[in-house]
Amino acid sequence: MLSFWAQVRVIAYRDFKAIVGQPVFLLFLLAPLFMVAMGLLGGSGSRDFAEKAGQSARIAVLTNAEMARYFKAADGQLRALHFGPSTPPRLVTIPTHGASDARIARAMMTVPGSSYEAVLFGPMERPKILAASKPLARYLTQVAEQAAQARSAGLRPGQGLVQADVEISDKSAGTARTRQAMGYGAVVLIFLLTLLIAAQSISTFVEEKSNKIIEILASAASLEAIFLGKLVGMFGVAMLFIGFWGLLLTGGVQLVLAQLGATLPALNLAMTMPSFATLVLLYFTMSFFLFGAAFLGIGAQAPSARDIQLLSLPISVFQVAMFGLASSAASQPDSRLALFAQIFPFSSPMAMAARAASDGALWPHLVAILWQLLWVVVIVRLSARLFRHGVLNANPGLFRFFRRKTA
Amino acid sequence: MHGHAEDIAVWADTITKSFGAAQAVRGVSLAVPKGMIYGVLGPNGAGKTTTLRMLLGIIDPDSGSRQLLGHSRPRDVANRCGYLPEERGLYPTMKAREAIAFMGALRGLSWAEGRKRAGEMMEAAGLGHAVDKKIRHLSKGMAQLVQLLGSIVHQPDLIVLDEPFSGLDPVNQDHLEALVRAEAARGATILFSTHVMSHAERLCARIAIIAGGLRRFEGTVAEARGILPMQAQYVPSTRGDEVARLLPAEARFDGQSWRFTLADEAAEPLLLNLIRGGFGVSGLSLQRPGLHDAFVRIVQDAKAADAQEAPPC
Repeated sequence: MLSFWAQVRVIAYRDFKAIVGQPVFLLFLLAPLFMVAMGLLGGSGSRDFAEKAGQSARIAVLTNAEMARYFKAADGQLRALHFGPSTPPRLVTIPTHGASDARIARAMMTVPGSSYEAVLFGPMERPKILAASKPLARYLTQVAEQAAQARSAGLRPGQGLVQADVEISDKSAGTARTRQAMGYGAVVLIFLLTLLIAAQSISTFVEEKSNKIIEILASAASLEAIFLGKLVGMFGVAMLFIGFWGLLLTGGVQLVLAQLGATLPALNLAMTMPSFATLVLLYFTMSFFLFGAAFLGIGAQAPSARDIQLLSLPISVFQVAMFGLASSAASQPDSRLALFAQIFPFSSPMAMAARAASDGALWPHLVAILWQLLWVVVIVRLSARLFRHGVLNANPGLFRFFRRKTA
Repeated sequence: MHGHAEDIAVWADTITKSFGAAQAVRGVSLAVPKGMIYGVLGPNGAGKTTTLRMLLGIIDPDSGSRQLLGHSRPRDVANRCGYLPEERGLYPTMKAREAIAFMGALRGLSWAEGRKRAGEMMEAAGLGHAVDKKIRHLSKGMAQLVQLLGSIVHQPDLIVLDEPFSGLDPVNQDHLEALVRAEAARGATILFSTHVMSHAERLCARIAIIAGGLRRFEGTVAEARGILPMQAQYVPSTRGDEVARLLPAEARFDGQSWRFTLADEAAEPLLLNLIRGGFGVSGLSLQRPGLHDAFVRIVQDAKAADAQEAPPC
């Protein structure tokens, strides 16, 4: 008899070759590129739209020429504190017309098609602001206050009351916040990769079932070897995907840094970067096999491709729920929730990867990996048993609860 | 059991299998001697496929025991077995050579050796032009032959073929028959199921007939045919109905000859009586009924027996 692992190898090799050998695999491999391209396209479109909208929108101040300079200077200083969509519309100053300012301001705000979103007028001690929103009114108030203070202090427009001597130091390295951020990054990375790749294992049995190849496989190899072989085959695809993008991104980052003459900032994690990266890779492996085994088992029970399609949504929801649990654990490393997430098998790989960023001890990781491995074995065995009982023996199996009873 | 245990390739002792409320196999016993071509015959739904699947360990029997090549766990000898299931299964995007090599690899053959043998076997089977064609581009008959080659590429000691001839045209049936004979000549034991009697008649040294989940007959084809009396067709030298008194009661005259059934041992005495009676023998043919007729009789008897056993509705 062929050994268990030899059977796994044969099944895995066939599956790996079958997936990688298809032209459509290129689409799968380059999918992130499409995602980035679509993101850039969408981002540039929305930026264009925002810029155009921002260019046409304006806020105005009705004041004299002297105050207008103070207003312009104050606007310049305060505007620098705003980014992106929170940046206020362009400020314009309009010469005052004394008593008529109130009427003019109202007209500017109410005329159909007007591009003015806020107008300030009246005496500097008690100006009047007409605005389309509270944030814009607050912004004009701040500009007016800074302009009035500068003028009453006898400063030139643009000259500040305080001349601070600023020195920038890199406080990001080694802080708890950085470690938390790295942990969260690991959670996101594992989640995304698992979502992209492991979820596909749900449909890997469709071909075997629809083409009746399962009879050949089941007569030659144990079902556990078949299940594990299919998972290993998919994992090979995952490694190819990760290797391709990992090399590309690493090379890209190094190229950019070399061009800029810079180096990566020291992150001062709880362990060395190679150890952290190795653990993240190991936890991705465990996450892949845990989710993959469960999805494969469920997919193998599904009577038709349509059932598999219907299962995709609840499965994605479950994955997102596990991601949510692990994310919460990453943000509260010492909480009971974090402990629960580290123990619960499906969230454990992500939660433990987050822990690796902030906790240098290696033994909890060893225990966690063994624990997760145990669950992989349990799920594969359970899936194989259910498949043997339900599908090969033509019993209703898991899906019997969802089938309408016929007379 | 037929012969010594070490001479038996496949052995089953009253194996049963139910799927829900339906009892597919109610107690089948088999003993297939090594090196023999053995047929499992039965009408549709008789339990042939379920029996073969149990023998191969794809499913386990509910009760009873089985041994394959001397092992009670069929998967322990998976490398020494080849299997062609009733519902053919190949990966459509695989090339024919790879498909055969894959099936060999599943049974312990290296991929490289599998590819090499696949090329040679396809060439020998007249499929040399299709070696690098994808399965989905092959005709049904070609794909079926490819699958058969896949099930024997590792040169197994036991080959189990479930309805191997179904769906094949006569040319491919001949190819398949030749392959089966070649494997038997190599020394392999071949167990195949069919409901087409002509194949069993031509190929099998022994047969088992399964009907209603039970084995109803086991023996040689000649023994199966022997359960029915011979069909006699007699043309007397003289005209007249007087000869009827010497013939069996059910004898009927069709205008030219008398037709009746005759037990083996009754032929000679009848002939003597006809000659002594002065009726002469202008023509006499004694024909043994074919396996087809024997099969039909066995299955009909089985149905009648089952109907008697079944509780009234």
